Amino acid sequence: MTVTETPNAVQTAYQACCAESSTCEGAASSKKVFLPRADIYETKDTVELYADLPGVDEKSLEITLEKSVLSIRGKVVPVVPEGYKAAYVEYSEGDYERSFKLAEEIDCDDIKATIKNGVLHVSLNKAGPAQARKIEVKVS
Amino acid sequence: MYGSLCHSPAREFGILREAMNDLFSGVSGAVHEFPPVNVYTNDNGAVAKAELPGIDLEQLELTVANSVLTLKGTRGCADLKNDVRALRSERIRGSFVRALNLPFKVDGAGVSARFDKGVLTVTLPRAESDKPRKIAIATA
Repeated sequence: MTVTETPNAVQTAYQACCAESSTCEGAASSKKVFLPRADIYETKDTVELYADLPGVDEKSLEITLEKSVLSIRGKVVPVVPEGYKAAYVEYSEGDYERSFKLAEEIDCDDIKATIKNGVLHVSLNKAGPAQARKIEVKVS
Repeated sequence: MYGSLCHSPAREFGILREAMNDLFSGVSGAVHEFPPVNVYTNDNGAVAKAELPGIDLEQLELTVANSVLTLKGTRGCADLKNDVRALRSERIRGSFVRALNLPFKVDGAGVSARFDKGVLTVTLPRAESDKPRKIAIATA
């Protein structure tokens, strides 16, 4: 994979680790926060981002764009089936959070997001190439 | 366990990332099989939950034999064309098989499964023949 050499259109801005996030939230909630796994593909005109957010749907998902930082936040209400007790646990349930810094070439006004079966798909368009402009020089 | 992984370097990074997550989340000895499974039990049966975001249900096979629940399937690679470049590839793909041995015999006919928001929930009732029977004690 030659990811490192490519001019990354999208980069991870910060990766909040679980401990950090849960302490930041303070006493309000002791819920865990996870970093969702993501794939990013770049095509000629777009950048496609996919993230695994099992347990999250369109109602519990929040995507914000602030100063070219795209933040994804998915809330999961941990559910233990009623009348049952946990006997074997491989994963714990909690929220998902991750931020990506968008490069200047991304058109921030045209971002589409869909979530299906726990997979978020964000489609980002690259802005067209800056047009070369001729500056008229006026005679004063 | 991952039969046909598309990007193995990504998987190695994934393992490292999981190790880091564990370090901060305080979870020790967590299992990193795919898919992660939780099992909840009571006297009458069990509920198994598995995180399978984006799985194609046609590619997933669930079987129950005696006390063993088997999840078998494939999480496919995205259909990438030639001019697509992968900038980040963290999501797990490939084929998987997971067999869970439950502490009781399952009533195969009563098993039901549901897939919602990328989470599979399988309800496994305990076989009647397996339930403890109360023995009346006769007096002489």
